[in-house]
Amino acid sequence: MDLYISAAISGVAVGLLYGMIGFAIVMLYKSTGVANFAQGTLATLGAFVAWALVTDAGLPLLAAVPIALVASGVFGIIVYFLVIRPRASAGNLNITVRTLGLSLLLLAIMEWRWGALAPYRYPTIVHGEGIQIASVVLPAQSLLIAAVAAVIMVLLWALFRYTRAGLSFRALAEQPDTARLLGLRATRLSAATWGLSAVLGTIVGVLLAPSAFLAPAMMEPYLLFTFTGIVLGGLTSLPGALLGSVIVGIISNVTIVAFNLEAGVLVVFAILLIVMLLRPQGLLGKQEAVRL
Amino acid sequence: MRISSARKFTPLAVGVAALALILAACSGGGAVGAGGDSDAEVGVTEDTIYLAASQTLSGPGAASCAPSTDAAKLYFDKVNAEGGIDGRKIDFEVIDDAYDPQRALANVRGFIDKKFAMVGACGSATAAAVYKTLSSAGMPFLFPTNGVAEVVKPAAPGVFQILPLYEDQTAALVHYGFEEFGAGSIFVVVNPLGEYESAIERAREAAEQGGGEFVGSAVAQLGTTDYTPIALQIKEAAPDFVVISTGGSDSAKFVNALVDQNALPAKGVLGTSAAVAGSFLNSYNVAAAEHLYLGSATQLPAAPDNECIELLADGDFANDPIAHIGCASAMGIVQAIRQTSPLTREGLMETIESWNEEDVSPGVFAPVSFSAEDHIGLATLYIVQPDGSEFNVIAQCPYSEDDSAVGGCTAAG
Amino acid sequence: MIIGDAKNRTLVPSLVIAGGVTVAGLALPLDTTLEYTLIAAVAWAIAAIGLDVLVGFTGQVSFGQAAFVAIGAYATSALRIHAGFPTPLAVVVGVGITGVIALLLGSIVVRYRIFGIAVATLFFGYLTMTVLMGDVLRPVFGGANGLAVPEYELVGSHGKPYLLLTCVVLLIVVFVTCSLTDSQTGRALRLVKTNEAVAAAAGIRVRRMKMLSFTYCCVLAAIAGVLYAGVVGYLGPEGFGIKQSVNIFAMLVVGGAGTVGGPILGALLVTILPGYLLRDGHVSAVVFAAVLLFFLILLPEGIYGLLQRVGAWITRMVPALGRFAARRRSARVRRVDHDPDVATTVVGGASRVVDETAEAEADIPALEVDGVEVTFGGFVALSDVDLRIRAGSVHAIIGPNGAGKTTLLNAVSGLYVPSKGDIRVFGESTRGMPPHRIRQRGVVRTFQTPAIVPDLDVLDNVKLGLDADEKGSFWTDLLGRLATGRRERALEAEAHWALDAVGIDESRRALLAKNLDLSEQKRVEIARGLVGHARLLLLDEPTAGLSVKQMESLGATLKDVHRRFGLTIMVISHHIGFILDIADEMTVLDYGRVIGNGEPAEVLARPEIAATFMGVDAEPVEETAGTEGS
Repeated sequence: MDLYISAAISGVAVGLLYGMIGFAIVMLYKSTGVANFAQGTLATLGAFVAWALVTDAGLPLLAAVPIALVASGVFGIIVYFLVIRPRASAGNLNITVRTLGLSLLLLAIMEWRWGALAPYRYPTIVHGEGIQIASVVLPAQSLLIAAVAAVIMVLLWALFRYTRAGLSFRALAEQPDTARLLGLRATRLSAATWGLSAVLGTIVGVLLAPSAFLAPAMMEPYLLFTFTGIVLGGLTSLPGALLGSVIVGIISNVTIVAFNLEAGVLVVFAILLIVMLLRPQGLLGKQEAVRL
Repeated sequence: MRISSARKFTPLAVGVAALALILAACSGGGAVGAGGDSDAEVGVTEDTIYLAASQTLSGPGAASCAPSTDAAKLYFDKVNAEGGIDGRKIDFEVIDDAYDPQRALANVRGFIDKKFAMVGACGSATAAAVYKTLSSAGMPFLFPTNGVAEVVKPAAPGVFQILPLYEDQTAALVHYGFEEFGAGSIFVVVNPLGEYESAIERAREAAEQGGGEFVGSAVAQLGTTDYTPIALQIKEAAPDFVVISTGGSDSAKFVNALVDQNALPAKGVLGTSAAVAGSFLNSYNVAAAEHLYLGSATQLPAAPDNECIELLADGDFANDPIAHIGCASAMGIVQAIRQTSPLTREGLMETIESWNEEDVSPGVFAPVSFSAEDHIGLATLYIVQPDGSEFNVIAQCPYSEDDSAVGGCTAAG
Repeated sequence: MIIGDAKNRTLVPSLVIAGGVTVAGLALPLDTTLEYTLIAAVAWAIAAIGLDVLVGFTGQVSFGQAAFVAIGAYATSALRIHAGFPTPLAVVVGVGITGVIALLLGSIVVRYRIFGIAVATLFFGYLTMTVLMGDVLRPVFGGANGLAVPEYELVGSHGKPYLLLTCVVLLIVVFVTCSLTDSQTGRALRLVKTNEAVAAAAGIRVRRMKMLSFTYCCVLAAIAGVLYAGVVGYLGPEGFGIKQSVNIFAMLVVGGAGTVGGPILGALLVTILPGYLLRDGHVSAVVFAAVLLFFLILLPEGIYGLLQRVGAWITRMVPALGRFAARRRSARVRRVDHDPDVATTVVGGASRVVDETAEAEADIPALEVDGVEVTFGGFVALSDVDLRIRAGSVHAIIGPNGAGKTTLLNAVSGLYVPSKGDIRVFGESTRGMPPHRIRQRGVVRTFQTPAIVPDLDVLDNVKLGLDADEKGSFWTDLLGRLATGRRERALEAEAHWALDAVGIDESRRALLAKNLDLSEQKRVEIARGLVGHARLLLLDEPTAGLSVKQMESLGATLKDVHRRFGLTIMVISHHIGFILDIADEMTVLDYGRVIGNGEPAEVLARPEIAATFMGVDAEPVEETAGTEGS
C-alpha cells in the first residue's frame, strides 16, 4: 500500500510539471484559439540560451536566467509575426499545424547546433535533500517546481479574471472580429501572448533541465501527457490544466507500479476517452454554446 | 471561377512531365561514385576501397551514435594519409537513417552493388533490420553495435560483431557481483534494447545458479521521463543488487532517481555496456559512483599510446567510449583488409573467421577471436566504475553462453 | 472554415497525376534506392489520400494515420507468418481488422471537438507504438526487434513488378476516392465540413458520416501498410510513430488538401527529397520543416492549387484552350434538359408536394407549439410559447432582437430540446427527435447566414437537399459515374427544376456557391429546401441584408412557390413591409414569450405591440399598415 501512496505522490509531482508546461498552452488557446504544439521546443530553446550564457559567456545562473527570459519573450513575439500572423485568416487548423512545423524547425536547428554532444549537465537552481512523504522523497527541485507552478497558475488566473488585459484576451479569442471592431489592438495582444508563452516555457525548461538533462528533444516525452492533461481538465481552464495533469500523473505512476508501463499508457488513454465522452468540455471547462 | 477538368489536365500533365524529368536526372545521378566497372570485386578498384555505413546522424539518438562513425572516419583518413592499404585509398560514405530501420534498409539496398563492406550500425533495431539483406547478398557487415541475438546467433555469413550481447553481459555481471560481494537478491531494469527479455532471463538464471534470488524486473521505454516509480518499487523490494541494461541517459536518470529516493541497493548497481557512454558521464549523480559496476567492451581509460586514442585526443570525443569503439573497429577492419589478398568479400570473411586472440586495437579492445560458428569477437568484459568524467577499469570478467564454463574475474593490475 | 476549400471533379487531374507517376516509374531506368523510395512514396501517398478524405473533405483531423498503417502492415504480416494465411486472405482480414479498430475508435472520437480528436488520435498512435514494442504481444509482433516480412508471391519484394502492383493499387484508390468525393456521400461530407448543425438540419446523420470518413481514411492507411510492408521486408515500430503521422499530414499540406491528387505529389516530395536528394540529416530536417511552414503560410492550396493557377494563367494566355473550356462548362449545364427520362420525375416531384398538401387540407395544423420552454443553463430563452400554424398558410414571426425567434425555429427543427412542452408537426410529436428525423418529416429550414457549401457549385448545393429523401448507397458511390449516373441525372433534374422555381438563371448554376451574391445564395438555400419533400418551410431572416428591390423579388418568389405547391411557410423577419406582403398570420415574441397573434395588419395596430417595437406609450396610432420595412 505504501508503494502505491508513494507512487501517487510522485505522480502529483510529475503532474504538476505537466500542468506547468500546459499553462502556456491553455493561455494561448484561451487568447487565440490556437493549440501551440511548439511549446516544448520553445521551452527547450530558452533553457539552451540560459545554459549557453553560463557555459560560453561565464555568467552565473541567476544572471543568465533573466536574460534568457527576456530573450525568449522577444523570440516569442518574433515567432508571432513571422509564423502566426501572416495570412491569419487561414483557419485554426492551419495555424495549429504551423506550430507543429515550427516545433520541427526549432528541433532541427537545435540538433544541428548542440545535438552532437548532448545531453548536457544543467545546474539546479536550488540544491538540497528535499522532504520525504510516505516512502517517497521529493527533491528540493521538485518542490520548487510545485511552488512555481502554483504561483504561475494564480498569477495567470488573476490576469484573466481581474485585469483589463485578461478580459481583452478572452474577448479576442471568442469573437475576434467583434473585438477588433470594439477597438482591441488584436495584433499587440496576440504578440504579447506569444511572448508571454515563450517566457513561461523558458521558466519550465530551466526548472526541468537538471533532471531531464538538457538536449534538443528534452521536452518531447512530456508533451503528449501535457496535452492529455489539458484536454482532460478543460482546454480553457487553467486550474483544469493543473487538475487534469495531476490526475494523469497519479494514474500513470500508480498503474506502472502496479502492473507495467504498457498498462499505464493504456489506462491513461482509456480515462481520456471516457472523460471526453461523458464530459466533452473537460472536468473544469465551460460548455461552449454555438450560436447559429 | 470554376475551371473545367480539361483545363486542369494540361498544366498537371506538364507538371508530371517535369517530375518525370527530375526523376530521370536523379536516376542517372545515382549511379555516380560506384566502384562500377571493377572486375576484382564489388566496391574495390585498383586504387580505392569503398566502405559505407548507415548511421543515426540526426534526431535524438544521434548523440549516442554519430561519434562512432565520426571516429572511424578519422582513422580511415589517417590510413589514407599514410598511403592507404596496398596502394588503395579508403572511401568511406556515411548516410543518415535517423534511427529509422526502414530508411536504414533503403540505404543498405543502395550499398549492396557499389560498396565492398558495411561498417557498423548503431543500435539493435537498425542492425536487425539490415543484416539479412546484407548477409544474403554476400556483403560483409562489420562490427555493428547490436544486442539482438538472432543477428549473430546462429552465425550468419558475413555478419561479425565485436561487442558482447546484452544477455551475455547481464549474466557475467551477476557472476562478478556475487564473486565480489557474495550471493544476494537481484532486481533487473531494462530498456527495450535488443533481446531484453533474454537479458532479464540470463540474469535470473545466473542469480539462481549462484545461490541468490530474483525479486523482480521492470521495463522502461527509452526516454522515460520519470524513473521514480521504478525507484520506489526497488526501495520496496530492497534487493542486494540492481542489474540494469539501459541506455546512457536513461541509466543516468535511473541512477539519479535511486539516489534521490535513497534506494541504492546495498551491494551495488551492475550495468551493461549500454550505460558506458559519454551521455551517462555527463549527467549522472556523482554521489552514486562507488555503487556502480558497469560492463565495458573496451579498456577504460584506454591506453594513451593506442593509435585511436592519440587520434581522438584533441577532439570532442576524447573520452567517449563510443568513439573509442568506432575507431577501434575501424582498426580491426583495416587489419582484416591488410590480411586479405586478393581482396574479396569472401576472403575478408575468411580472414576474420580465422582470428584467434587477434589484437586489433591493443589498449582498447581485448584480443578478439572468431570462428565459423562464433561471430562474436570478445569473450571478456571489463568492469569499470565512473570517476568524475571518466571510467576506470577495476576488473575483467570472462563470459560465455555456457555459464558453468566461465572462470573467475581478475582484478585490474 | 477550419481548412481550405476542397476541389470538385478531381477525377481526371488525379488520374493524370497517378498515371504520370506510374508511367515515369515503369519507363525510366531507376537505381535500386530510388526505385525503393518511389514504391514507399506511393504507399505513403495512398495513406495520405485517405487522410485527405478525412481532413480535406470532411474537415476533421487525425494525427494517428501512421499507427493505422502500422496496424494494417503488422496484422497482415502476422497472419501470414503465424497463422499461415495465404496472402490474399491475410490482406483482406488484416485490412478488415484495421477497419474494425477504426470504427471503434471513430465511434468515440467523432463526438469530440477538433482539438480533442487531435489529442485522442495522437495518443492512440503512441499507444499503438507502445503495444507493438511491448512485452505482451512480442511473440506475435516481434517487439522492438521487429518482424521480418516474407516476400509476396508473384511480385516479390522489389523491382518493376512490385512498382506496377503499387501503382495499380494507387490508380484504383484514386478512382474510388474521387468517385466518393464527387458523389452524394461526398457532398454530404462537404456539408458536414462546412457546418455540422446545418448538415444535421438538412437530414444528414452527422456522426455516421464522420465515422464513415474516419473508417475510410484508416482502411486506406491499412492498404498502404500492406504495400509498404512488402517492399521494406521488415517492420519495426520506430518507423510508424508520431513523427511519421506528422509526415503524412505534411504530405497532405504540401500536396494540397481536398484534392485527392495533391497528396500524391506531396508524398513524392516529402519521401524522395530527404531520403534521396539531401544526404545530410540535419540539413534535410531543417529543409523539411521550412518547406512545411512555407506551404502552410504562403501556399495553403499546395502544389495542386499552384498547378491549377498555372493552368488558369495558361488558359488565359491561349485563347483556343479558353474557348474549349467555356464550351465544356456550358455543355454540362445544358445536358440535362435533353434527357427524356427526367421530365416525368420532375413533374412527379411537383405533384408529390401538391398531393400532400391536399391531404393536409384536413384540419391538422402544419405546426403546433404547445407551452414550450427552452433554457440554456439558467437563462430562459423561451417561456410558455404557444403557436398554431395552419396547413398551407404563410406565418410570420416577429419580435425585437433576442426575443427568441431563432431559438424557436431551432427548437422546431430539432437543434434545441425544449425543457417543457411539446412540438407537433402535422399532428406528430417531434419531442426528442434528432434533427435528421425531423427533416424526414418534411421540415426544412434556412439559416440567417445562408448555409451553403462555398466550394460546391450551385447545382451540387441544391442536390444536397435531396439527401434526406433520395437514399443513395455509399457502396455504389464508390463505383463512380457508371453506377450512379442515372441517379445523378435525376437529382440534377430536380435541382434544375427547383432553381427555376426560385429564379436562378441557368448561366449561374455552374458557379461555385461562394461566388454568388447574398440574395442569390438565399434563393439557392430555398431551392435546396424545395427540392426535398418539404411540407413545412422555416425561413430564418431571409430578408436580412437584402436591398428593397431584392426583397420585393424574394417576396414574389415565395408567393409564387407558396401558390404553386401549397407549402406551409414560417418566416422570421424584421421587415414589416415584406411581412405584410406575404404573410397570412403573424406571431409576436418578446423576451421569450408570445405577446400577440393574429392577422398582421390587425396585430400591428395594437398599441401594446407598437409600444414593444417603438418604445412609445400606448396611444392609438393611425396608419401602421403603411410602415414600409426598414
